[in-house]
Amino acid sequence: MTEGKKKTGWAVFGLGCGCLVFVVLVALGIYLYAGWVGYQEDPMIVEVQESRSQLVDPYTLSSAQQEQLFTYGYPEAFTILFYEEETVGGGAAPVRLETWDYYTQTIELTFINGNLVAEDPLEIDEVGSLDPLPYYPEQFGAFMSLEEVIAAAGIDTYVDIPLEKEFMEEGVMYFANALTFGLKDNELIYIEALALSEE
Amino acid sequence: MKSKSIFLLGIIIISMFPQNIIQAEEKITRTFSSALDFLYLSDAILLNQVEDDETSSISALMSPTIPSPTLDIKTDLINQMINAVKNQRNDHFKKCTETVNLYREQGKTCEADKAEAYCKTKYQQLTDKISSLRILRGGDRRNFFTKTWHSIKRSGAKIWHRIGPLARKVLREVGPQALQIVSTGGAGSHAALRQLFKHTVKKIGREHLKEIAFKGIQRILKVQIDVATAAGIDICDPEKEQTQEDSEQPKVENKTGNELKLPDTGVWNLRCQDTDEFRDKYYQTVVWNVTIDWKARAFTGIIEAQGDQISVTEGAYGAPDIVDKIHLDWKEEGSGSVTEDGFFWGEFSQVITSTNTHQEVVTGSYTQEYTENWIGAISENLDQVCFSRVGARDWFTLDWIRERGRQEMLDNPGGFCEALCYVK
Repeated sequence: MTEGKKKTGWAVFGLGCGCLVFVVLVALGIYLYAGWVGYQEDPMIVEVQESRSQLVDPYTLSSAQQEQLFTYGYPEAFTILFYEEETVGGGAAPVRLETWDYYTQTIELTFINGNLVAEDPLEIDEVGSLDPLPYYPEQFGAFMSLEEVIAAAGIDTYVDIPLEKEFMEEGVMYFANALTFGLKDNELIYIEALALSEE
Repeated sequence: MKSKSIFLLGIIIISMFPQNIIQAEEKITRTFSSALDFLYLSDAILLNQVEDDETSSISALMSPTIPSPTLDIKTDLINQMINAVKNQRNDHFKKCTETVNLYREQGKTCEADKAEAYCKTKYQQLTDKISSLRILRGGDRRNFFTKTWHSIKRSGAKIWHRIGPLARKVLREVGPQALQIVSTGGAGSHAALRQLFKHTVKKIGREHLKEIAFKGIQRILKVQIDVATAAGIDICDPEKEQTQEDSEQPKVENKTGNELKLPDTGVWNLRCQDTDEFRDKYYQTVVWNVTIDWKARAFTGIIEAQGDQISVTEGAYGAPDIVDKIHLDWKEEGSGSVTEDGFFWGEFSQVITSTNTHQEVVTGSYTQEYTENWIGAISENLDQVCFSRVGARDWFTLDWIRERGRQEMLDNPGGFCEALCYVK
């Protein structure tokens, strides 16, 4: 009888300990999960560990762009926006809106889907000495993933800033060497190669 | 050249009218607006712009009392987002105004009105986005579970920063560190420091943004005209225009086919509750009192709110070092009229007083007063009234603000309320 009570006592004690351990494990799991979510939402500086360089450019310059390249050379800075527009048939077509800036030649060219739509003068007094831009517009294609952008641009280190959903759902802004770009749903929709000058 | 491009933009704006551009753009997931958002944000971060010109009562109120070093990285980032949207809104407004004015000068009233309608809708969207970000910046009035969840996230994230994937470092400052990476290519000090050209010639950066925004909008509108033309829709045709205006006229009684019959006599005291969506971030207690006099078709209202915001600076070993507390008192009183179709319009004077205590020592106080507008709508079965404040009229007329508020309430019943009031 006493032996039976002892056994029951141990069983209750074991069950209690089991429940306690279970609760602690669940709490720890929630804590770690919440922390992981918070960690991913924090802006970070990331050093790229492994990157495969991209051998083929994802975009081919149009004849209009090649003509301007022949006249002015590669741009000293450029901005490309990728988005979609409604078509007459009711679908969506991709758009590549890009501006090429030539500060030393004081001109800005705008292309939409490779067609030259504007040549605007830039009002700059003195440009000074600009570093050669390490990027070309054809290195970047519409809706590339982060890995593809890293490979295309040969990025070593970048800043990763997840955006608040009030500003943009699933949007992340990145900054790298002479480069800034934005991905929404892990698709490249904005990239800007920035001109740098010697201090 | 400039007037030519504005003229072209105008034509295109008119052309897209039968198709609502904003709605059309929303059907597409990869939008021009999103790409443009990134462009403006990148500029704000790299130039490290922090929101300073404030029309918001809260920020204007807080600015003399909150010391800037207490801003955390999240707040800093939100401020830069707000600034990015504000710049975008300003550029949009400027280009739109030029186009509309040009049409007015040419006597093209129909075209001007339609262009203005588009401009205002887009402007309002950007304004709403700024409001959402401002609410987010406060963050103190979330419910218990949300606050707890965020608190656990913050605490748990510290562990992951220690044990998480290698080669990821938390950012301490957004603007300066992003700029460092951009100009040196790495976080180390070995790379030669170079100057961002946009920093050297700031006006180039701003003009660049405006031009891209302008050309992008031109493109969107051009596509809209193609789509509209393909659908055989004529632009600014007086007959079609009239039909369209008739169908778009908001009619409360037509929403469900029932006519709204307001009482002719009686005074109603309402019991109000502020809604989560629009709850002001700094206030822990908010009391609304609204009375309607049906005979006079008039209403009066009072809002009283109080709140504390506490900021703690960590000292050695994470122990609290400096504690700042800002106590806020907000009082608002006003009156307005009730229209036959069940809308409420009123002007309210607001007084906000803040007192800043620094470790229990009062260090200063600040008072701000101004007038703002209220709009409201009564439900079809007359059991509840939805109220919202529509803020100061800076660029648009009171009539327009009211019409916009009215439209919001018709389009999204219950979704535009800062307070929901019930008959006591």
